[in-house]
Amino acid sequence: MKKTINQVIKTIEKAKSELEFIPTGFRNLDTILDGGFLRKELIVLGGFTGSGKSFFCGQIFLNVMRKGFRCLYFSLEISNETVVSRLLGGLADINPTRIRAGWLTEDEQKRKIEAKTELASLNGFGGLYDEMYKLDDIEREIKKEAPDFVVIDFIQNIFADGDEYAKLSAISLKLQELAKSQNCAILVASQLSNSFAKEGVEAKNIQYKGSGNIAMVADMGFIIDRAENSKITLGLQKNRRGVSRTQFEFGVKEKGGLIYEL
Amino acid sequence: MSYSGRLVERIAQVTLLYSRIVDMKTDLVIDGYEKNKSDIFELEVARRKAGELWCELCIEWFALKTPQNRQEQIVMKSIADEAREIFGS
Repeated sequence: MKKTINQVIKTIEKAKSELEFIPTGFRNLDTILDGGFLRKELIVLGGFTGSGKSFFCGQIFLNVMRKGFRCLYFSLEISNETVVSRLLGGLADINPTRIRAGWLTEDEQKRKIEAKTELASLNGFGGLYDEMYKLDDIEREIKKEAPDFVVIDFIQNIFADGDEYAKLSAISLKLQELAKSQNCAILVASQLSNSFAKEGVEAKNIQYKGSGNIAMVADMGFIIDRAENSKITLGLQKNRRGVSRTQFEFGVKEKGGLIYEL
Repeated sequence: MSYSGRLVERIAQVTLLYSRIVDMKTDLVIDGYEKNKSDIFELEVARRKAGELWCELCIEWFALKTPQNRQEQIVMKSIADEAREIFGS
């Protein structure tokens, strides 16, 4: 249906009062993003295996819940237990494996209880899924739970028919449509193409594995790189709302893997 | 929902958690301190942490909010008094 410019301006004015940013919890990043992610946005976080995609997704999931937003986490790679152990580890500054195995000193046990209490206080704000691989199932849960923020880790593991290019194109479009129709922000992790490896975070084009279409559809595109164990670089490659081609530096705590801004 | 509204929801969740921890701890103490000593210790750590979270959230909420009328002023004062009573600060 055709709309006049005045009608569109009225829509913008009306939407202004409903505009709500979903903070990532990282001050510098939120400043550049004018407050964080916005509802209806599809955000892609690309990185190679071991670059810290899942850790970063987990940390944002935690930060967003802390601000009182309803979040869902679809982990298509690691178990819910691993996701939560990592969150606990980060909060308590203890290696997640030690938490799962119960190899804790008295002081670590105390820190674990404190971290567990903090996560328990977020119980009503987050839901985790680790056995959901079909896009239809993910869509059904998002519609049922009506979250503010969704994390999907990672897109290449979503099950769908067709070759990789067609599959990922269809999934990206569906996720974008879901973010809009369900009025939530969706953060989806993605692997990177091998050719991207040559250029790194300073590359001019984002090359998510299997499809350039994900980058095209996304409202925001990040590349995460972990050059050394204790340091992460996050490149904002695409931002439909403003500043892009910006990099952020993060430190990673050695024991629990907590990510913090440098 | 506003940021302030979300904070209030979080405060409500932490309050609920705090009450549950206190109830569980009380039950264990009644059941016998010596035999439940380690669980009681864990619950006490959890209670203190929940209390800290509660205070942090209330402070964040108070910083955002100027009481709009006498009624809101009374509610905010009673929350502050309750916090002082429970956590002694």
